[in-house]
Amino acid sequence: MPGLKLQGLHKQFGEVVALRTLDLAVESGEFVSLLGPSGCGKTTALRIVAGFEHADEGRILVGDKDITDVPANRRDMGMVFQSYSLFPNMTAQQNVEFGLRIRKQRSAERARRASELLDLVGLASATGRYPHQLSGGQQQRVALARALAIEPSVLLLDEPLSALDAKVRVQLREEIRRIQTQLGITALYVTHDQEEALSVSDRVVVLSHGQIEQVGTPAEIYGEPQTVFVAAFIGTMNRIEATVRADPSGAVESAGHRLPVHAARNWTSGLHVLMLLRPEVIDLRPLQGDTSAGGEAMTGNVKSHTFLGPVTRVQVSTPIGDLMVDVPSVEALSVSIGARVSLTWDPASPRLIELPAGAENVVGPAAIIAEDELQPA
Amino acid sequence: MADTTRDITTLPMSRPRGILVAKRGSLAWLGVVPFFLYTTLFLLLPALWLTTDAFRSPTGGYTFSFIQKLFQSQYENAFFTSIRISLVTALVGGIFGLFVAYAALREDVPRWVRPLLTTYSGVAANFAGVPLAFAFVATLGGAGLVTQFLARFGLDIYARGFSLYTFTGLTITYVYFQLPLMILIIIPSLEGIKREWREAATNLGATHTQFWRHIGLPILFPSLLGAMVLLFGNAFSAYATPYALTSGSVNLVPILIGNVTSGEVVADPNLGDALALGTIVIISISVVIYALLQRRSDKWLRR
Ligand SMILES: Nc1ncnc2c1ncn2[C@@H]1O[C@H](COP(=O)(O)OP(=O)(O)OP(=O)(O)O)[C@@H](O)[C@H]1O
Ligand SMILES: [Mg+2]
Repeated sequence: MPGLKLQGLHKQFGEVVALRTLDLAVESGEFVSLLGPSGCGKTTALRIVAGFEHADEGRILVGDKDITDVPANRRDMGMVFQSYSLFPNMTAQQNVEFGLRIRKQRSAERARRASELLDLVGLASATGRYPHQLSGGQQQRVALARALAIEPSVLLLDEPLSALDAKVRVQLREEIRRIQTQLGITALYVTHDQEEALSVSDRVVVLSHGQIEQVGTPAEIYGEPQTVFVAAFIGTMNRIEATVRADPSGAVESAGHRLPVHAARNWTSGLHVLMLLRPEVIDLRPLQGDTSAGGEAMTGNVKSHTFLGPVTRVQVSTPIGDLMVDVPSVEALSVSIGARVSLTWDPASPRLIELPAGAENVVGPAAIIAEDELQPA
Repeated sequence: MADTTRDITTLPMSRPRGILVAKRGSLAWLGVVPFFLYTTLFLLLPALWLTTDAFRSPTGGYTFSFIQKLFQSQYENAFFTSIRISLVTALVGGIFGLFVAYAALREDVPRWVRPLLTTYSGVAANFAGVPLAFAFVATLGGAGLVTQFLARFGLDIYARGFSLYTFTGLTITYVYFQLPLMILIIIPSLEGIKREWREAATNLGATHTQFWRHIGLPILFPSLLGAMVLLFGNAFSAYATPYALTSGSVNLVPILIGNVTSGEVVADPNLGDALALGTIVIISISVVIYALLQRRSDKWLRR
């Protein structure tokens, strides 16, 4: 199985720059996701690879072969679309056979291959059904089988699960991953769902405004965001604007408060930084009265609770702004709204990102967490 | 549309689905009452009345003489000519209309083309009868603008045997409203061909032609067929256009009906009824052919 290389892809639609010199190498057999907000250029990148769109600049290589000028119908790429892409006048089996029919394979051979693939995607019993007789999830399985039937060099998927309900989505994404691993096929997967990208990919590419923000394994993307954008986009993150303090044990200062951060030891004091702190690394303890327990990093008052299943996300109002803290749901019962709490964290946990000099309110108050970020990551 | 839409309004473009599945006790069926009332009053009853009159002797009693008359050469000939002009203009208008609509919907065509085309088609499809006849006389008649213009360049089309007042001339005139009618009714069906189908086919290796052969045309087939039946009926029932243009020199069924019912030549209303009955039979046959061919697509159409 060959790998896939995108070299300096640039694409503009009139005034809108959809891709800004995008470089990406997908290793042979690797599952790479393009992740980013709506309009960041994910689909455009995929369509250029498939040959439906032409880049203004840049090249596409499969293995060592430059396919930039190869027409879409001779690229041998399997593509799975968002929805409604099955040919309505053909049964599931005929849909899967279509690519082979075009390649003039003998019908017995085609039928054998089609049933093999429908079996692989768990639809052996639906061969004779027409698309309108299949559920959304089943249709996407057929679409996957159809794309795989031509033994493509690369598998391209453009939000193949976004039209399905949550449960089917989780089940099917794991199946796509299983099949991809089993066949060892190189895959490029587009999604705007970070959970989806992080759970199935070997590597994730975070895009914003047609540019790569960060490329890395799911653990790197989640645990070590390199840019303010990635920090804000992936999962829920407390973002605190601070200044590095000259402190041998490592600390930053925000709104006159000292916050322990080991990472600060390697930074020049006085530097303007953004401190990143995941809700799950903060430890929350109820305080008796107004007294401080001593040793905590911050105190504050509970503002609200959001039940997320195993954990409850607690919003705490502190002098450095509101902080999100994940508390095991069983313990959350004991911290009522308005209660005074102490917050502690392992100084090794927070990460720092340098902010441009003079940048004010890059992220607003300490943490602005939108409603839609309140999802278990 | 042309002069009369009486017969064609009821042609099936696609089968009505789900009308009869209203739950018991629901009053949804009330909504279709006006429709059935209308078709009963203005389609079924007149047809019934016309049918009985076609067999009724003016002197009382029943007779087959009018029906038999239809097989006399003059009347038989009129049916053949009407069928021929309807078929030819349905095919020519239909095929060219399909291509024009297809071309206008392509992604690389500027956006303003489409509304312009549909507006024009809406007007042109309804431009028929006496005004249309005059428009053609003024352009392609013996002293018409285009005729004169061509003559100036040494191409005297009338000297070469062309005449607007013949079958050929009439065909050209009919295509003038058949083509835009086709455009109007086929655009929605063409829009129903999803971009994903085209791209999926391309992705799987299909050429443009292969896409249309295996996917595009099979999907479009029922609508194309329905549109053709509509165009056929539209041409068959045209009256004012051929009347104004040829003053009866081309022998067509609607003109004969006009003649025998208005009494300009000889008033023979029962013969008119028989001719109209013949028309109903022809249109019914075309609908049956449509239904038979359309069954092929039935199995994958959503019900
Ligand atoms: N055919 C086109 N004509 C004009 N602009 C386009 C076209 N296709 C995409 N764009 C623009 O290019 C940018 C990137 O679009 P693209 O579809 O790649 O985004 P995306 O990341 O896939 O977003 P989404 O998550 O909403 O699907 C957008 O600003 C979009 O408006
Ligand atoms: Mg997209």
